[in-house]
Amino acid sequence: MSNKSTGALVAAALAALLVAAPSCSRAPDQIRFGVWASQNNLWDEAIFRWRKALQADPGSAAAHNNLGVAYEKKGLFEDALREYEAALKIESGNTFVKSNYQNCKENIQAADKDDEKKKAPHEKK
Amino acid sequence: MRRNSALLAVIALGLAFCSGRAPVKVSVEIPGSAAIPRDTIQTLLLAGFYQEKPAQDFDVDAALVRYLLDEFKPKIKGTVEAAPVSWPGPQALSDKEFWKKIGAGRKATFLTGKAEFVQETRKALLDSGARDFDGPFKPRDPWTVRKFFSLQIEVVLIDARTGEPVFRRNFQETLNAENIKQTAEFAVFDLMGRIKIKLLRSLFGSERPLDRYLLIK
Repeated sequence: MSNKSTGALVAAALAALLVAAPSCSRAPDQIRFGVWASQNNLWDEAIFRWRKALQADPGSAAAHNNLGVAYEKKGLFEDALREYEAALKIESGNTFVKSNYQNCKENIQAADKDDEKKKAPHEKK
Repeated sequence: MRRNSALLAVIALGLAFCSGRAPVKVSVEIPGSAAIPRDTIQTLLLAGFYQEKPAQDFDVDAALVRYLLDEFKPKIKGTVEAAPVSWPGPQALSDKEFWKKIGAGRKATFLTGKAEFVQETRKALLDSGARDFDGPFKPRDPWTVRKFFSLQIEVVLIDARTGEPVFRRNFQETLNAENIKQTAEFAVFDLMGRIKIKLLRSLFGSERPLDRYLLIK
């Protein structure tokens, strides 16, 4: 391959990286780090990172969605629903956020049914 | 040619790192129905348990508080303290003003309730003891002795600022010990081990793995 074509390839590579560069800005980095932290069971760190991502970019559906997952993990279901709803407001067509939201709601409803079952024998007394 | 392949690999890696959008599927241990999310308890005050007929030879209340103190300390983020109260009577348990006064406006939760511990030595007839044939062995003693322990506790969690109960549940466990020298202290420890599992599950919920998606972008 000639020097000319190698040069063109390098130029193309640089252009591609420059196009992708905005997504390497702070908020996505925080999101990525948060995902890594959550995969290593460091959920408090993940929450911290995703909150930072939201400070940098309040319109980040990913940060809202991921916070929703983290709040579910913590048992803070109302907060989780709020975050999923915020993510859906930003990206209403995102099937992954929709799936998380739906599953979270189902989990809460199942928990409510469990509570009713637990209460029932006590109330009979 | 090799140089170009390496360059393409670098480009691919760079693009993958900077513009990766594929969501990450994770299996998250999500707690079930919890009466109280553990993160919401800032201070847990172990106020002890009211006993109508306290045992003379063994302080059940102190043993319960000691046990729960050790169990709750690593399980909640906030502080756990022993805060024994002097009980004016059984009605104090449902007296909001009583708890508000002791709580003194603290952002805390009292863990308290009622406890009843029973220990008995029971004799049971295993068989008639009649010898069917003559032999060199002595007939077996038809009577057996067991030590019976029962622990019944009503656990109540009370908001220190409002005096309102936020959780109330009864637990009862029994233990039959073949060792008739089994002490009350060891029995309470065993019984509390069983109650603890049910108490923690109903307080904080049991966890189960559920799939969720984390977004990268």
